[in-house]
Amino acid sequence: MTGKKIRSMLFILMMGMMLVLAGCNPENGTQESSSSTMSSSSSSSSSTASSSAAGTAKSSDQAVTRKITVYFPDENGEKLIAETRTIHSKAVCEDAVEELLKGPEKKGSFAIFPKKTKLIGVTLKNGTAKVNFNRALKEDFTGGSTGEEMLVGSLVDTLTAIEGVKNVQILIEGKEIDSLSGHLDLSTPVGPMKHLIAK
Amino acid sequence: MDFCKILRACVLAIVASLLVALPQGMASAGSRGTHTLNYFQTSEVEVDGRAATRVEIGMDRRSVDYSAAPSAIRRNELRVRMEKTKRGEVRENIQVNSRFVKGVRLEEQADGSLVAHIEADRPLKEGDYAVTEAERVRRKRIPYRLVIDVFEPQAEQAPSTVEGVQDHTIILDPGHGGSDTGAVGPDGVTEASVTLPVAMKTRDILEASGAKVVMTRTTDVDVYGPNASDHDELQARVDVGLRTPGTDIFVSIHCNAFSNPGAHGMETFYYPKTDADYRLAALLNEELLAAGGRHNRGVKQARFYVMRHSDVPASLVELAFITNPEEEALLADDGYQQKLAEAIARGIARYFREG
Repeated sequence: MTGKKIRSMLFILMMGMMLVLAGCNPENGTQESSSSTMSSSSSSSSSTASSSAAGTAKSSDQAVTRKITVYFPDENGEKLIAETRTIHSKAVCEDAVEELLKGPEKKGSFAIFPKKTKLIGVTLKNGTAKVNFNRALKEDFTGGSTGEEMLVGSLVDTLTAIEGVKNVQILIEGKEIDSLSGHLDLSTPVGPMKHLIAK
Repeated sequence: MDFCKILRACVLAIVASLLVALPQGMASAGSRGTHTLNYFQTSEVEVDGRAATRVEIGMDRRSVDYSAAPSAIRRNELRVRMEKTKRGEVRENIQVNSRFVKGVRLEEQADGSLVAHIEADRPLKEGDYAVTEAERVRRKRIPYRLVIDVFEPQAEQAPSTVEGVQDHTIILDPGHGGSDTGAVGPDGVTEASVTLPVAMKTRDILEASGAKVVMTRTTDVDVYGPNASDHDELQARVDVGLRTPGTDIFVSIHCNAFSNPGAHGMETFYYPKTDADYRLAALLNEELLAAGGRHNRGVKQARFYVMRHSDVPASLVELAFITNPEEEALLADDGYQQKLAEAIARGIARYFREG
């Protein structure tokens, strides 16, 4: 019992560190202690963090303002429509996913992520962005083929538009998944789905 | 379209006393909003070429809330429930010795509604009857009516068949099932409850045409087991094809869903293993479009598990959106399911014929 608890706490701690350290940032800032850059929940000690980070953590003193393109499904779930968002940090991938979770601003676009979906973190390694969500993404998801295609498409096309991201793998609480609702094969990283983007 | 054509104009006045007064003559007995019956008539008609016995129940006010369904208990009985309705002076028990209706009993309920028990000549199925409203005809002094048509039995037709599937082996995969209902419509229709009958009807047509058909499931069950991982469940479906000797194609049948209930239409998917994958999806799309008449979302490429992992040409068809109220009702309709099944069978037949 307690062993399990400790393990799960350790797991949460690790996830927190990953969020802090591995946030993908294609534009290399000066490497520094991560503590100054983290915004969210994670309060892991920076000493443990930097040792396990093994050089993947990249951060800079100042938040950078930049424009990114995020995609949302149209009303009939046939195409993805681009929106431009301005973000103010270096954790570009995280920020991009958070923008997706906020939903569209344009009329005629639709939110597709379940409301309770939360991003746990994104790690980028060898061009693969592993995007870690809470359970709500899968448990509350009600879309069929189209819903699944649009959700995954919006995520993959948004992230692969960021420099250094070639493909995307969805994780639920750190674990790889086979599918969201039993149509798409998500067991391996998914490359860009540009055919979905509205011209 | 020339709808209800009255063949025999001779209206069979059943019991003279039933023809109670006229709408204007009836004082509305109940409280505001209550309907009171004041007219009862039966006749023999033909509707779209199908003979029917017509029962007309008239009342003093228009727009009655009603519902109709075969009785769960009494064979042969159709129950038509009218909310906030009183029987008035129309008789309670009416003998109707017409072709398809034997009698009508009008029963006032404690909750203020009125149930018309229509005793038919046989147990009625969906499609064997129709209930519509008819407006008042002032000149003829006919009031607003509920019109209940009980049709002649549908001739048992030979199962439809297709050409060119003889000796081919086809895997049909009704999407979801068991612990996984698939998507659910606003009215509660589940994806699994549509994909199974459509697949079964498709199988019947293909088998009657000489094909060998293997279904991944023939009842409302999980193929691997309840609450299995997506991988195990989807692989179990693929395995049916891999283990069946001589499998030619794999067709998975689904209903679509989206966060916007307005999303609609039909589409077919393929994974580009070979040119044949696309050809199969394209032919299914063409036939489903012709038969189903829904918006065509197209023939699309997607990384769907069952298509990607089948070792034969495979397609996944999305019949329509169960999350769209209009399409949900169509998908639940037996006649529409039959049309779609015939379309899938024709698409498969063309795949073999034109291949």
